[in-house]
Amino acid sequence: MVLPSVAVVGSHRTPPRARVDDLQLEEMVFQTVKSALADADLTIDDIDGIVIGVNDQAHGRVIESMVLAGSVGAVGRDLTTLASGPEHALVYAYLRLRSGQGRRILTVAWGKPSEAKDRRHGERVSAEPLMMRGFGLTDDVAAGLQASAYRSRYGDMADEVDAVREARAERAMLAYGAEVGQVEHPEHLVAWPLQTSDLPRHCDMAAAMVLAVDEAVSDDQVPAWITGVGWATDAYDLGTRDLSSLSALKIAAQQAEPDQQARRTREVVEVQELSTVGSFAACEALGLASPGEGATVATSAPQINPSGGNLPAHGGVAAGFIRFVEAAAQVRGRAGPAQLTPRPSRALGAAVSGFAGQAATVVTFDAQREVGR
Amino acid sequence: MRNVGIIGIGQTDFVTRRTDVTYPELVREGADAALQDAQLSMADMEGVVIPLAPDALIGVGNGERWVVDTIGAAGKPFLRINTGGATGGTAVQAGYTHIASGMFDVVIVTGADRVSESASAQSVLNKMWDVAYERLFPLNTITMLALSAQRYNRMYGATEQDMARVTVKNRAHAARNPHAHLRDPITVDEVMDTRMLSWPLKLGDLCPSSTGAAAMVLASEDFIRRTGRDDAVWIRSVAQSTETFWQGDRVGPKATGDHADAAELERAIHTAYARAGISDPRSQVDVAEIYAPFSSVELHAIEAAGFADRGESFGLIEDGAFALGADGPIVNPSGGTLCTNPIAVTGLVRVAEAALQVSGKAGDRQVPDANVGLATAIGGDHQFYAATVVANHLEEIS
Repeated sequence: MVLPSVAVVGSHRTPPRARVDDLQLEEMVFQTVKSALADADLTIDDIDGIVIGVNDQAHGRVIESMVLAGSVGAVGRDLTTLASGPEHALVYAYLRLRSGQGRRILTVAWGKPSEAKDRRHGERVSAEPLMMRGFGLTDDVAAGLQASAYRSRYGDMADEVDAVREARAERAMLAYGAEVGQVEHPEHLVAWPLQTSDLPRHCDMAAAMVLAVDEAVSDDQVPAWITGVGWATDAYDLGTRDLSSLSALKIAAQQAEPDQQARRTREVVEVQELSTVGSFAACEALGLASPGEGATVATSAPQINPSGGNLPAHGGVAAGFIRFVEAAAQVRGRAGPAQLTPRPSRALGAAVSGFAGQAATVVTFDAQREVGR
Repeated sequence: MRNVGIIGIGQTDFVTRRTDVTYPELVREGADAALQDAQLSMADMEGVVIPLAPDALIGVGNGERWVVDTIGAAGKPFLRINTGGATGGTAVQAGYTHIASGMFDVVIVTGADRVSESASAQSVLNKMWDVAYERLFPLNTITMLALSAQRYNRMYGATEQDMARVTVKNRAHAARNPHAHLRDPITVDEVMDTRMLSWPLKLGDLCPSSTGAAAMVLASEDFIRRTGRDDAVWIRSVAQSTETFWQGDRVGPKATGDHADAAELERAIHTAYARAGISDPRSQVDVAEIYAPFSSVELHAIEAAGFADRGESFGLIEDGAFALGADGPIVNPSGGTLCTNPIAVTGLVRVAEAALQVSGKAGDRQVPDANVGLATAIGGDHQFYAATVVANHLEEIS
């Protein structure tokens, strides 16, 4: 049985802003969807289904998809909501099209952490109440535990950490302009060994992609073909995991592209990073470097995170989804000021979610459609 | 498209409260039951789909992640669906999609809910509405559907007694279902004597807050043939549709669909029918597990399913239609959502009960000669709709 190939044919992401005050979340999402459809030269009437990724803790809306359904154009249409991580929305949209459920699917994700008085309150209730919640676990604390475990095994690598921080900031300035550099973040210890500047800088962002099966890709569209998809979860209990490595990311990468050498020769990798130190473990999990040697490739700019990645511009819960948007945009030649030249033909996007990267998703994008599927 | 079958079903008995297990342990109960039914283990599962609706109902954000260790899902593809009350139905469709995509041969859809864990489920559900307008009304699922019931009764002339007869029918069915939460038969007068909550909805018109688990193992046709599972139930089609979020857009000249009816549920069901080759549901569908948490919802849902014209369902129910033993489609022989509502898995249970019916394994609640079944789910503020058609064969539905 020949199953359809699937491509990204349109996308949009808003510029990262520390706080979007002039638009409600619903308006941010609506404008993003309109722009993604325009990029694909389509209208909402061309869309057969919509898949969104939400988080009910992030924005004060229980069943967040309800109020956002209109913004994404879902009234009178098929809408599916993924809540385990917005990055899964892309995965599920891909599965939908592969299974013959429509020709074009719109997939959308957003993060507006400025809507929360303190995002960490929402993160704390994601720890189960019997053991972990009392510990005060947040995403930052979990990233600190991950970084601590990595340093304990491989050393502090202070120079390499500085290099990652500077490389990401430099690319983000190129990608987004001065806005990401304007927000003052006083440096202080957040979760040992991580300082403020080691951790993701949260921003309000929304992003959308239009996916199409091969027969629905027009000659006028520039596709980024999805050639591999993998996603996996690790254990929830931090005490059972080796936090110095990101095993879910490793498994997801192997699923998406079993050939490690092929992964190493990807021209672009957009990877969500838990922290500066976490970037080393992420590169290792993706198979780009051997264990303990992630620092040797993490600053191989601009191939790793040419957009600057999520450290300088972390779009809340959508940060991972945005990595896929950026990776596909590079292949489509639509990455704006961050566009690499010559235009890459092979890119990889990677996202993580949950405490210390419990879950991970990897997607590969190619300019050439895989033949014989 | 690859054919997908159901090869394992598990559900616990549904009750008000379970204090002997944590949420992950409850999910494990459902998963173990489905895996035992499929004669497989978690190690055989290539992917896991978790239905979990509002996190606040169990008091843990992204509670699906907490489940991973307990059910043995570490290392596997794992994702969660949340379409509110429709979550369980959408999750089955997600499991179906995993396999139909060609990437998986066997997956498990497994979840649980413990609605009673929250001090006030309706306070949580009030937070579904937007901050500026409808949250202050105050809308919750009861007041929201009371508006729909008022509208239906006014447009079609139904009465509170007509609504009560839905409860009477479903309680009689639930008495035959060992998993159901509310199993005591009830009379129209007894329903009418229950406390008014939001006119015209009384306590007797409403579902309970249920605790329990359910799971389903799905497999490709290749896997089913290879392992000789002659009793697999086939998912013949799936479909979804979405209503406007805004209550105010459901009445008046610019309404996208009248709040009395369920226009987008009708669209989802009839799309599923068309994909399954069903053109005359009154003769081609033998059994329907329709998601109706309140008695009033079942009236317009029966009409959306094409089993009655608009405004005619309550008259047919008064004449004995849709009850076990009647001619035509039997609606909610399990007792339905009205008697058991563990929100996250309620939609999954609808598919499971329809599958049990067409496989002849429904016990005392069995509909004779059931071959084709419909299962639906509703989520959000009567907003997200899922419809699934199952059958015990892959031939043309006659």
